[in-house]
Amino acid sequence: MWNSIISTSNEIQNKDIKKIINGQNSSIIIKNFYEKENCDKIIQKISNTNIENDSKKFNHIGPFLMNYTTRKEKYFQNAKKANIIFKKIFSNVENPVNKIKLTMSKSFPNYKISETKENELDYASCNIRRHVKGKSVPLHKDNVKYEGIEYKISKINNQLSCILHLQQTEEGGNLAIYKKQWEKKLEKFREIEFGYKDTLKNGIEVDTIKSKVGDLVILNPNYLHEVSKIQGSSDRITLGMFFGIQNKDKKIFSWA
Amino acid sequence: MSDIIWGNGNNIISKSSFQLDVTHRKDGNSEKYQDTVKIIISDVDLPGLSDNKSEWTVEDLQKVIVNAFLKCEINSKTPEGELVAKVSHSGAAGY
Repeated sequence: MWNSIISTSNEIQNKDIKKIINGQNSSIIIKNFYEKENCDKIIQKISNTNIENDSKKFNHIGPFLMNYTTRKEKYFQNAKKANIIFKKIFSNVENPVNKIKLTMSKSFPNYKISETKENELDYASCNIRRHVKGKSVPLHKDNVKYEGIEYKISKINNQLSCILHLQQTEEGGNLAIYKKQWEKKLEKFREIEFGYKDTLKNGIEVDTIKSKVGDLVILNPNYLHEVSKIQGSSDRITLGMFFGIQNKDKKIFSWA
Repeated sequence: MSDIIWGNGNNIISKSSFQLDVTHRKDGNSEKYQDTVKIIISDVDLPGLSDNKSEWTVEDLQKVIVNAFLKCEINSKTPEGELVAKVSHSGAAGY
């Protein structure tokens, strides 16, 4: 059965991580992972901060590495700026990035969680995205081993994606995860700007997740996924980060 | 504005040329393009391939180009109908 593993204890079992890596389950959802009060404080802080970010309006804070596949220098410049902003935004709350890292590290007891650097430069610790009414995210995958080949972090065995919901929309904005792994031959189904043709979804099992504020969703982002159109008047705001797992050196590291 | 076509890399013909299976064409292109065209690479912006053409091998091109979804900005056409183009990786992410 292609469904989510629900946790209410702020913990993830290593066996559950393996299930999402292997495609037995679509995702892990940790309910109420992060306090609603802190989510509100972060949103408030973002609204009150004069943020110089990658987009003109606040549509996202922090660079997406996949937008910089051949522009490493620019990525690290923007990552540096974003990390300073995140420090300010998280200054009066429990740091959600650290909390996610701690939770992940506990589920890999024999692995070391290490700081990710490339030529002494830091990767972006996370990104925060705002999806406004009418916006959707087309069917896609995230796979740093394919598109991020010029970065050190591409030398991993597995990639996981973590999404913390900071603000929910009233209707729509659901995450749908399809039981179909990306492979290079699917590139012939690409759309020009981003993502893949909807025909790839035909006949494929899907798990649709309607997340609440404070929930953390962990998935294997190589499975095709999308976000349905935001229909409510409040924006969908999420904090996202990736984890890479390197079995040979028993290391875990994160980036965005 | 140059013409733009998109598609998937197919056969590697040489250290700087390949066959492209065309899947998309820019509206307003000045020419019509066949479903399969030969591309001679003028410039690249592809992860995994250096800017220095002299370093490329057929194996490099096979890894980076075959099956990949590519954007080709056409600079010119040879008398034989081959397209000289800047080749880049198209739309990896951003949402």
